[in-house]
Parts: sequence; structure tokens; C-alpha cells
Amino acid sequence: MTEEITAIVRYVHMWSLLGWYDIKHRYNRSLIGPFWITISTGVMVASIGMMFSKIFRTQAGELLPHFAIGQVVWLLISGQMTEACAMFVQSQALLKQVPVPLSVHAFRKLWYNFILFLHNFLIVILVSALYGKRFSLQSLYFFPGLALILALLFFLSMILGIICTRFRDITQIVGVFLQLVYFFTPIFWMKKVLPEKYAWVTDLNPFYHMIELVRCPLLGASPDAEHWLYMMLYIMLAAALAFYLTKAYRHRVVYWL
Amino acid sequence: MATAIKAQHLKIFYPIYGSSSRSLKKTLVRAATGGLIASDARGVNICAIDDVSFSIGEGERVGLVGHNGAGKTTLLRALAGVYRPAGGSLEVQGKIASLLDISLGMDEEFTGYENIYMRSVLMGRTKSEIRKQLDDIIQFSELGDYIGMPMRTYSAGMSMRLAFAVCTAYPADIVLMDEWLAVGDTEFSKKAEARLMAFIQSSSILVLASHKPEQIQKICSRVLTMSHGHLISDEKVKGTS
Repeated sequence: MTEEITAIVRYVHMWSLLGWYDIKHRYNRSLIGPFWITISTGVMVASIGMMFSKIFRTQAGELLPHFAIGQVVWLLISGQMTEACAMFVQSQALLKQVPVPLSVHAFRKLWYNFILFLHNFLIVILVSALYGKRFSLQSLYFFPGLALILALLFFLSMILGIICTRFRDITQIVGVFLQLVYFFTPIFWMKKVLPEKYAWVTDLNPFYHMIELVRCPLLGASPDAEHWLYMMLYIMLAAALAFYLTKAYRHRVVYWL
Repeated sequence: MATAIKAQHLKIFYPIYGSSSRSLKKTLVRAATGGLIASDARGVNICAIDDVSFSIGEGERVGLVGHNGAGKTTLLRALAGVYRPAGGSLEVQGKIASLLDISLGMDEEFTGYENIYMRSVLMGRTKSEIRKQLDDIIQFSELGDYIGMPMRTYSAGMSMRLAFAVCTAYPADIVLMDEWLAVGDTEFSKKAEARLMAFIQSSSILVLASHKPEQIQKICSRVLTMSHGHLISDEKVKGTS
């Protein structure tokens, strides 16, 4: 596993180029390229945000920044998890010819989704400016929060990549699962509209803690200690499982393709 | 350390998962039924390489022959470090150039330049190494101004020439090849042949899998014959330099 983790440095030229070419490939021959993703997220945030602020009778100024950040982080998480499932199958020609650490593929996808995230992040800045949310010193918590999310996504990617290559059905299951999670996580709705006795829906939801970790700082508050603690716990669990799977099956993956 | 390949009792199994045994349901059902239908769900293992031992030293040019499915490509992939042995051992010392699929990573949508970078990076080359070889690659492939155009505008021959030029641009200790590479029309193929020969000359070990006996006779100093995953003969080729 150490070999898989140090690959982030040793193979930086490879995964960064692969990830970057994925972006180029997707937006080839389009005039504004990846900014299309900014536009599509922007339209979604604006329209759904406006509608739900009416439904929940919340101020648009309160719901929109909340939703914009939640949505943008969610796209990073769900995008990475979805693509991690197919990453080895997708690059099987590569796996069958070049012996590189499996993590190179995870870093490639992570880099790809991170670049998309940066494009989407423009919306967060725009919405924050629009509703006069000011970044404060607390906002700096955003950076460690984001770093932890990326770390967790890395371990999850290794787990999903290995399992989904062996059991192709899991890819479909993950897709359905993520669709459900989207509605059960306070992304476009706020936790305070949830009746007290259903608080467990968010408290037991890992995705809630992940999102809060970067949403609180961007809204000018420091995240609760519990979010950090849960996040550490998830990372440790995911790392342990990723470690085990990599050790046991790292060399089997190519035979499963 | 000296360039060398050493295989001892090498074994490689492929698990064959049909769409059924690859599904989670089957595995769960198997777990739940306590192995009653295990024989059905376990699938089949194909033994692609069975108990193969050989060693190849510096300067050897080895031809790998055998009918389809004899295990030649699997063996090349094992040498490339892609397939881990299921049994026995395999030691490979030296930098490997794997020419199994020369256009790996190249994409129609990208320009010649971009494809040169991608192909080279996948061969484990750094930016500075690539920059050094860039002119040579462009010149050899005879693409001229097309090098800045997307590869979809190339003819099949042009794409092949580019892939070939990149793959043979960086010297390596061990060259692995699945069938002798022949690219281009008659005139270009002579030039390509010369470049490939020079590339092989600069390497220390060549392993070439081929169906063409005359090609093996021409290039190789030693022939390994495979059949059904076994190594059935290992002999020197007479009259080679």
C-alpha cells in the first residue's frame, strides 16, 4: 500500500496527464470547454434553489449558498465514486500492458473530478458574493476539510475500483445508492427543517458530515467537532479496508478484466 | 545489475468469470448455500502458463513460437510485469520496452504532439526525455505539419508511423514484441525496419513472439516453443550472428 500511496509523487506526470487529457477529451471541440459544467451546475442551483426556497419558506439568501456549496461538493463526491467503480475496466488496455500502481488510476480520476470541482467552485464564489456572504478567518477550515474529503475519496476509490472490477453488479448498485443518498442528505434542504426525531437521518449519514466539513467554513462558521471526528473515523475505516483489499488483490485485478 | 530474465516453474492461471459467476448474487447464494453449487459458481481456471522454466541472459535474441493460444502473449505480459505468477518465480532485471500494443493511449481526438506526450508518458518517460526525442520522432514519422493536427485527420498508415516512431525512440534493456512490427508502404517499411533493427541492437534482450518462422530465423539466436502453456523446446538457431 505504501507503494500505492507514494505513487502520487512517483507517477505525478502520468496521472496528471491522463486526468488532464480526460478533461480535454470530454470538452474537445467545444468553445467554452469545461465551463459547460459550471453553466449546467449554475442553472441547476439557481432554478432548484429558488423553487425549494419557496417550498421550504426559507430566504433564498439562506438556502442558495447552502445548496450551492452542498451541490458542488456532492458533485465531486458522487462523480468520483461513480467513476472509481469503472476505472480499471475502462483503462484495461493500460493495465494489461504497463505495470503501474493501481492508485495511478484513482489519482487520475481524482484529478479529473477535482478540476471539474474547481470549475464548479466559481458558482460558490458567485452565490456567496451575490448574497453578501463574507469569507472570514473560519473559512480557512475549508482547506483541511477539502483535503480530508479528497483523502477519503482516494481510499473509497481504491475499494470501489477493486470490488467493482470483480463484481460488476456493484457498479450499478453504487449508482442507485448515490441517487438515494442525494435526497437523504441535506444538500438542497436544510437540516433544521427536519423534525427532531428524524435527526438520525443526517447524524448517521457520512455524506452529511463530509459536506458540512467544507460548507460550514464557507458560510463563515467553524465546523462542529463531531464532523471532524466522524471524518477521521471514516478515513481510518476506509484506509483499513483499502489497505486490506490492495494487499490481498492488487495483483489479481488485471486477471479480472 | 546485469540485464536478465529468469523464470522458474512459472505458472499463470486465468480465472474465467462468465457474466454469471461475476455477479454478486451468485457469490452470495454460494455463501448462503454452503458451497452446494460451488462447482457451478466457481468457474473455470485456465492454466495459460504451466511449469515453465528458462533463463535469458544479456545479448540474447529470443523467438517465442507456438500455435494460437499456446501462451505466448501471456508470457510476454508476465515478462512485462503485468501478470503476477500464480506459482513459481519470475525475475526480470532491466528497463522494459513493451511493444505489445504500440498505439496504447493514443487518441483520435488529440493532435500528434499530444499523442507523442501521452504515449511516451505511458512508457514511463519524463517530460525532459520526451523533449529530447521530440524532433527525432516527428522527423521520422514524416508527418510534417500534420503533427499539430488531430489524429482523426490521419490515415491509418500515418497513425501507425507515429506510434511506431514513439515506441522506438527510447532505448531500453529488454524489448518485448508480439509479432514483428511492420509499418508503412514499401519505401517507409525499409526505413522502419532499419530503425527497429537499430532499436533492438541497442537493447540487451529481445523477446519476440511470432508466427513467422522466417522472421524468427532472421532475427533470433534462440527459439522457445510453447504448446498449451508448456515449454516444449528450447534451442539455438544455427547460423545467426
